[in-house]
Amino acid sequence: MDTDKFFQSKLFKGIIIGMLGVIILTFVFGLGVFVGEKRAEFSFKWADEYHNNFGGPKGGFLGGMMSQEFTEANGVFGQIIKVNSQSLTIKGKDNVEKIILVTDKTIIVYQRKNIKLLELKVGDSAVVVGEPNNSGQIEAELIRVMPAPVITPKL
Amino acid sequence: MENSYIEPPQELLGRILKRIHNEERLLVLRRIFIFSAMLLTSLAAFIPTLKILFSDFNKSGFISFSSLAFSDFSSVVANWQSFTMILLESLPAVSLALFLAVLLTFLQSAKSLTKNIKTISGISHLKIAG
Repeated sequence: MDTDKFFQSKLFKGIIIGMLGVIILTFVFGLGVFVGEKRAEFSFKWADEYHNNFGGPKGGFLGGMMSQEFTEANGVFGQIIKVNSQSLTIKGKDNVEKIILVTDKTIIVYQRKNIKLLELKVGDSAVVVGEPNNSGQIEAELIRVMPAPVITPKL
Repeated sequence: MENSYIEPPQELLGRILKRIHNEERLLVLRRIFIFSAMLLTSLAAFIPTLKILFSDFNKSGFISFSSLAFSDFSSVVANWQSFTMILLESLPAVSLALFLAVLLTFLQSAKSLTKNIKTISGISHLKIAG
């Protein structure tokens, strides 16, 4: 029986062991992220409520912003909503807006050619990879402009 | 002096073997039932977990970020640290672990079910006199 042979084979054992390894890794990784987020959330809330608890603005400095899910620091994927001479603003997942700084080292690619910052248009979709700075912005290393999604009219 | 040894009935061995055979059969049937239930449950959970996984991959932007490895390979290699970080940040770890766990349960149940079905067909062919 071929199925039985496959189930008893070394390949099947390898697949099972590999999957088990990936499950354990992703589970531990997820757990680490969860614990890290909880600690960061508490730290932010503590800082946010500091002036409320010890005197200061009622809503705190962050105004309850950290009640949302934590956002990625090393990149963003979303729609360009503003283009400046040295930066652009992208609205990513959960409508979180991020300021992307463009430096001399930043590579901006559209299809197969490199383009300049001012060639970007509001409404374009872009994937950005970069480094976060101390001002809560991302210094872009690579900006890939994605083709606009094809919208087919409903019949 | 009277002989204290009692001779066991001749059919005793056959009866014991038949009982063992029946117990083994029952055990295998029980396993078949358990693994069938596990297989069906994992099969039912497969599509919903796959949908959750795809949805999370799309929402997190993981697919868009990982597509850069194909479209802008040299830039990705040059900035591999940021690229690795953003892939890890956007990886939907919980839904991935959940989907793989369902898949693992499905494969292991299928394996055990096949093995037990083979065993029970072997037991059924066995004839014990008694």
